[in-house]
Amino acid sequence: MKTKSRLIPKSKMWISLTIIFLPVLILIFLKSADFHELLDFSKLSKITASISLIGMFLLFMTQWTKDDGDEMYLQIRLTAVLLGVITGITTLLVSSIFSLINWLDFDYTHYNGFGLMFFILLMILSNFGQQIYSLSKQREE
Amino acid sequence: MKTRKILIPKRNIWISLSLIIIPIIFLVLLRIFNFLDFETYGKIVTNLIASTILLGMLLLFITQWTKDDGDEMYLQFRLISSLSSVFFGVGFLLVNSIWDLVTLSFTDFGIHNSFFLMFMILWWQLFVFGSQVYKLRKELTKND
Repeated sequence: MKTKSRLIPKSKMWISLTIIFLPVLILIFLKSADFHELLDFSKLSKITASISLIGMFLLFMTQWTKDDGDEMYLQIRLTAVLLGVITGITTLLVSSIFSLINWLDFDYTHYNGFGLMFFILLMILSNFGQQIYSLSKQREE
Repeated sequence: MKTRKILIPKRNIWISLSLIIIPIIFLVLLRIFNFLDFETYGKIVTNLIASTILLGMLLLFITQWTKDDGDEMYLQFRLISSLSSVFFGVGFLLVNSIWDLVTLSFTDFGIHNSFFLMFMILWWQLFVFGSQVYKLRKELTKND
């Protein structure tokens, strides 16, 4: 199937996990080893965050079950991605309203793109995982 | 069909367009008449307006464009455009981070701002979906 061939086999999941965690570990190591005085740490952390985000995206594109790639999983992925985009927009809207009414006395005007993208991908992955979990539970029953 | 029910009918497209255009006009007017005080609430009002525009763009994406819209093929189009937009967003951040690292000064226009990122993601999503629908229409008229 066309969609199935685009997905990353589960056996290669270590690639996604390495892309997520290795940059973070390197960053923590550099921070703890006081390398951050030599390097521009804010720029380095942006690159690290971007690479980790790619890893999260690859995790989403992993073939989790044998049937993954068929029409139902296609629909599940679409729902998850749309939910992620809606979450992103809602986060921005709600935080803007919070800023307007000065809720919790927190500066919501300081929005960061990396934080938003991380939140979107987290939402996509959690929704997708949840749907797959409930599907497998239904099949077991 | 279930998907078709979720979509917004094309005759209601004015809602999405109003959500996009009216806030922009409002923002321009506020700017012209110097009502935006960026020291106090100006930034918050701008953010609220930007969020409303983004909401309008999302509604535009879930509009039923053709009579067939809602079937399996359009579902696939929407999936591809949504996936490519998320990938685009991640790639966008990565490329800008690399530019930032090599300090190309021309990128310094608040590129890491989440509103701008969300705008680019939705823009890309609409662009990919639109081009796919356009291609399909062209093919169908050729076959006719």
